[in-house]
Amino acid sequence: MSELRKRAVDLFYSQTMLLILILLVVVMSFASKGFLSAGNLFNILRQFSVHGIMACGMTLVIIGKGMDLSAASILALSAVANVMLQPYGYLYAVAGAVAVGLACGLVNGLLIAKVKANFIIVTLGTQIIFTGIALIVTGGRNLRSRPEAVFHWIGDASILGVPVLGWVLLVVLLASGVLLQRTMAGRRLYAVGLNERAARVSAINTDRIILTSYALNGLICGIASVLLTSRTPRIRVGTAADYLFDVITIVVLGGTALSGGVGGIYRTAVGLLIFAIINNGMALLSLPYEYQQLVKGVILILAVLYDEASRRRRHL
Amino acid sequence: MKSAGRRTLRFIADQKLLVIIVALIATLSIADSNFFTLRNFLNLLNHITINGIMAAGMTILLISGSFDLSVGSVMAFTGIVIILTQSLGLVASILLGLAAGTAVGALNGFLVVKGRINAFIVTLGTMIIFKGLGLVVTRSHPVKGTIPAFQAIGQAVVAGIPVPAFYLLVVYAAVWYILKYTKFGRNDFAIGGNPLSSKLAGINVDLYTFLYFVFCSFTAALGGVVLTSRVNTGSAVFGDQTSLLVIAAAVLGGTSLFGGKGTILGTIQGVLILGLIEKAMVIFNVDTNYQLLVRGAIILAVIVTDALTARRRQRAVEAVG
Repeated sequence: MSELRKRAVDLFYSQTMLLILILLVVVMSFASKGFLSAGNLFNILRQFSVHGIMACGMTLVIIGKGMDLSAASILALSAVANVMLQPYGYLYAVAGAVAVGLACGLVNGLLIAKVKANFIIVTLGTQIIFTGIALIVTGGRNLRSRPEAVFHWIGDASILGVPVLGWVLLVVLLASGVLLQRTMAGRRLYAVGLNERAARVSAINTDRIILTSYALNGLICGIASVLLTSRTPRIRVGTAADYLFDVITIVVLGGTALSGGVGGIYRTAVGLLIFAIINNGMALLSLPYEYQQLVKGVILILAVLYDEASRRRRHL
Repeated sequence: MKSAGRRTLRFIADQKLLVIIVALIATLSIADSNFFTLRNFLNLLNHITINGIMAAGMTILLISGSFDLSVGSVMAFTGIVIILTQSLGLVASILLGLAAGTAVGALNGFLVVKGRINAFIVTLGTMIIFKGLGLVVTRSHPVKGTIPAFQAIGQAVVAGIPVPAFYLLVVYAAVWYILKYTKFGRNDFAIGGNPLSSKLAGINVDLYTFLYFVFCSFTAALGGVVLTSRVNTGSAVFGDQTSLLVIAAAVLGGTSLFGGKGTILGTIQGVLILGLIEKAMVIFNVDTNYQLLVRGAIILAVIVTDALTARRRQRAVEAVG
């Protein structure tokens, strides 16, 4: 009996966020008639594809007991590269954006994994630098994407009724999920996040695993920037910063622990949906921007607190 | 003779920060003929007061092995509270502002000690929340002060010396004394050096860590008082980069992010260097976007040096053990 009860408690605590998501969906579909329509759901997918893709990269980094506070700046800088290379053809533009993202991620990874500098200050420092470079290159002006047909297609078209943005999100989610759950490197990342020293004495090249997680995160931010420039014709470099806290909130809401080694892409997908629905709700209530930010900050803190408390409850 | 020369070299090598300061001052004096004047130095002192006061509190917190990303928000929030409560009277408003700012530190400390959450994520969260709260209560617009006397705190000049310079002096003297002669200060180094053995030695690690967070926020609130009085305005957008620059100043001064190590004399030199660099960027007319880049590069350089030093020390310890 008590064994059963223990397992039930365990299940409840580990799947709380899924329950919250189901609850939100039920409440929203009663509150607003159009909520469960395919149109609205695809709209949410379209609106939060960039968030979702970036959250995948951030999940990798956080599982490795890190954090990338420069992610939004990488997004901005890659977007700048993308827009500037658009006159040379879409292949160069996409490749350039992804390459810039990867390079930024490598800088972070090298400083953190090889130099062993504190990841928070490193990524806060590179955040300032990447944003600075983006501002210098654009002269502080808004980015104006004059996209070729390809980008219009990415931003607006649908395949089999689902927006292309949604497909890209799905592919990135699946790829990072497989990477984490089904590959040696992914399992090693969990090991490093749980206990770096133990991982190292188990002959895992911890430096390389951590370096790779930051590099991949940069690459994923590069991919996200292509979607961003395809979706929005005009981008202010400064506003890209808003993505950072949203992305961290999504990952934490899903239940990936900031203390490392626990979590996964499935959880991040749940977190993304909760976040998207809450945002949708706040937009429907036409809550002022400042209040929205405040609500998000409180959600982030509550999610972290809940995560810590539930794990202690389960003696993990 | 030879050994005296070597000793001199050694002394200079130990005083890297002073060398940098002298080099910066020399460069700026050559570049700008108005730079090497008493008045300009007093201005500089006035200029670094706010970051300086906050860096002193941050030093104490860093030595204990924690850190605080929310000090910029605390500074801004304190100012907003002061301006918005000025109808209650000058003294009451200042006290309320200080209390509000310090309360953030208590919240940080509580969540870190009792919630067992990483200091970084707690203070990142409170940084966002109190900036958001500031935006909400000011409706995203800066608020103007209504009591002229309040401006004296940050702007008054006595005998040709700007008054804020005195605050800087008082805070540094106090923190120097605290670190050197009090239990509060000695426990700081003990906890930062090795929290577990401090606990075994009977130090109430949780209580002291909490108090270091409170102290750090208190100095941030003091910084907020001076800033707000100087501009007679409260705004939630103040201090976006302050936290990083304050941490960078302390680390530049030799306080380690890994805890257990730091001096208040080092911190003031770090603050002075960052202040001189800011001044240099103004004198050389550096574009604001490039200023951002320079600041980021300095922060990275400082932290990389800190990490390399810590690693070398670690290796030396391992080699002996």
